[in-house]
Amino acid sequence: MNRRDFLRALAASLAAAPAFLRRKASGAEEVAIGVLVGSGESGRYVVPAAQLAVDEANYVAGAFGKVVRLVTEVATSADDAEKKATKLVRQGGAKAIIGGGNDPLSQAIQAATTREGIIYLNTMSRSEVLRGARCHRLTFHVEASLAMYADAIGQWLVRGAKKTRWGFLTPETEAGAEIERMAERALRRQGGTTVGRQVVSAGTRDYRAALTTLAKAGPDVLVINLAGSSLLTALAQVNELGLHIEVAGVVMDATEFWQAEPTNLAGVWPALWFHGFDRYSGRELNKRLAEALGQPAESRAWANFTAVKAVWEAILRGGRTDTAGLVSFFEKGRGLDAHKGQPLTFRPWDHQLRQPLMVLRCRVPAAGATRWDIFELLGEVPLRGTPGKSQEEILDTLGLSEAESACRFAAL
Amino acid sequence: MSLARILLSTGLMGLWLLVINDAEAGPRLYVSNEFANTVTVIDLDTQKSVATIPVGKRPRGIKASPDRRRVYVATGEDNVIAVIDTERNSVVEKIPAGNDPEAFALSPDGRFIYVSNEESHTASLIDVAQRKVVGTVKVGVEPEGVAVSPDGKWVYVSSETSHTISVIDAATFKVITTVLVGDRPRGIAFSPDGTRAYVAAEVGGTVSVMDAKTHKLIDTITVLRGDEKPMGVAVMPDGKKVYVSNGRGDNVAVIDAATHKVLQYIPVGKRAWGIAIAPDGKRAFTANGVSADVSVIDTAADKVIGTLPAGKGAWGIAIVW
Repeated sequence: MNRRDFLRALAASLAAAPAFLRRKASGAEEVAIGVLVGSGESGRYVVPAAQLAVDEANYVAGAFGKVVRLVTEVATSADDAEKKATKLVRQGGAKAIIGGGNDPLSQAIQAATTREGIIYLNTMSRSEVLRGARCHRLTFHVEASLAMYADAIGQWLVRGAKKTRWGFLTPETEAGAEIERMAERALRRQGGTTVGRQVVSAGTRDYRAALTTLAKAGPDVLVINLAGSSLLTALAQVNELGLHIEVAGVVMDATEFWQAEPTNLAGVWPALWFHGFDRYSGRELNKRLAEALGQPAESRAWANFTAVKAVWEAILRGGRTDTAGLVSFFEKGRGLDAHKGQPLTFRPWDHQLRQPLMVLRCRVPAAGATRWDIFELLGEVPLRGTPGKSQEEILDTLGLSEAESACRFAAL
Repeated sequence: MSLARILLSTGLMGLWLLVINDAEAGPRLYVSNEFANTVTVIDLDTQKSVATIPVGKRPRGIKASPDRRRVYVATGEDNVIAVIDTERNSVVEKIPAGNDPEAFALSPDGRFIYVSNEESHTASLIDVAQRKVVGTVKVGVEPEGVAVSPDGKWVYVSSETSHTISVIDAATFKVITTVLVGDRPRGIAFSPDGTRAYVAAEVGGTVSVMDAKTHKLIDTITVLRGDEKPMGVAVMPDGKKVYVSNGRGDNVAVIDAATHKVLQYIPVGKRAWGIAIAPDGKRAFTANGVSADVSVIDTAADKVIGTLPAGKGAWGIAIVW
């Protein structure tokens, strides 16, 4: 055994040691939180944001006999994610894992954490499947669901802006169909109508004919159910065609939009977080996140910061670090503070974090502005005046209701 | 009469008039206006604004010195505490106050200022005579509210993100314990007898009641019933009632200090942030950020009896009595 192997073995044995052996010399109990992300672009915002939350927890953790540590891994595939999640638990001693990636990768983490008996806080996947048919009591969702994003844009455009006639551009893919299903549901929920629908083949890069046909149907809004580079291409073609119709969508990744030519962007989009948000200490958090990231924070950074903070607050307030204790804390519905101005709770029927979402509009940066300045914040949803007997009931106007949810939790 | 004599006698006359003016000046409110970068001075006898003082960027925390001659206001984006001369109603100096000072408290003798530094997660100790920071201590993340016990022995600092109160021994300026309170704690006030401290928690919608002798949390009072976001706290001079400004709730909760029950909610202006009670206990005042005014509450009837204009983002109130 060479020196490196020895150190690895030592680290592994220390990580696998029982909790009482991992108490630091100061007497503080060490709590490890695992972060696991895919190797894509959005993953690079995750670790610095999670580390910031750990650093902030440690400002006071010592006073409560704890010290928080982050253990991280990057996964290249779903298979790799399952192995790395297992490693974070068995070698890293993680009490919880946060993160995720595309839907298969997030599902792989869920499978591993379920098997290992620890909680998983999904911060990356919007999938309704993960929250529905594949839900599990040990999985919680900080990232908003597809239905929540759809409802956000539905409330804003139909109820807020009175744009009630929508036309859909949808790719012939399972993901595209799912987005459209949620967007149509949101539209119906607000009393709007579908005036056109164009389905395009998955491989196409030319949406001009479909867009022109849709425009002729006279919609108030063109809802584009594409994602990634296909979405950016479609937006550029909306501009190229000179269509003077409101553009909107359900799925928007700010990191992808930041890479695009601003004059090619358009539309109104829902977001989990915005770096220009300055209410409820949002300004202060955005400043700290920007320092940690070296650039403005977007939704993923907020989600991973918040997930670590949620685990820490559950430990701090609940007084337990074991899985049953953490699940119990989250299920009891004690509010979490996530810089959104009100206590946030997980929905009991699918463990989705209830939360307000933001609505952004693309804009061309003013002279002297940075490349991050491609959005303006229009407002928050649920809209003011949304009826409800409680804050939870108002927030539940975003997302699937208990009756709609396919999730049925088994006992632990 | 020589020119020198004329000038001397004129100067002495001016000085005398200044002293007379100060002696005759009635009670005044000094209101920090976060977005206007000013402090509004309101004469309570005439109910009128008598001065608007430019003070620096993002003024929030504001306090009057025990001798009434100075009002201190933290201007967070300038990293200083601006000192207002209450005779001239102008800023006469600026004391460095660490990184992003937000709220602060004065020691009962007026010799020290304890200030929260929001960005650096610290509290600073300023020696007023030396005009400089003489101590810094790490507290929780995003510190905000600061209060000193009436006997001057303890300094409580709330930290919004950490949900804690750091209890600092004023003699050593060291944190002796950290107490978990409601979510996003902001304003703190001690009871006049020094036995209790009340902490408003904005996101929790609560007021945490602490035993200020043992520094333990002894009760949590729920103020939230709708949009209430508790921010400022003030205790009546007789200690019997606690007034909590509820930000977005646009009201003030009145709490019975003996039973810890909310007695009533008083509608005030929009976004009631800062709150202060007159030394005679007859009036309470809220600084209302969005309506840019001050609500005047009759504490016997617990009703608003007047509204006084302030500046944009009215945040904190100091009373020069």
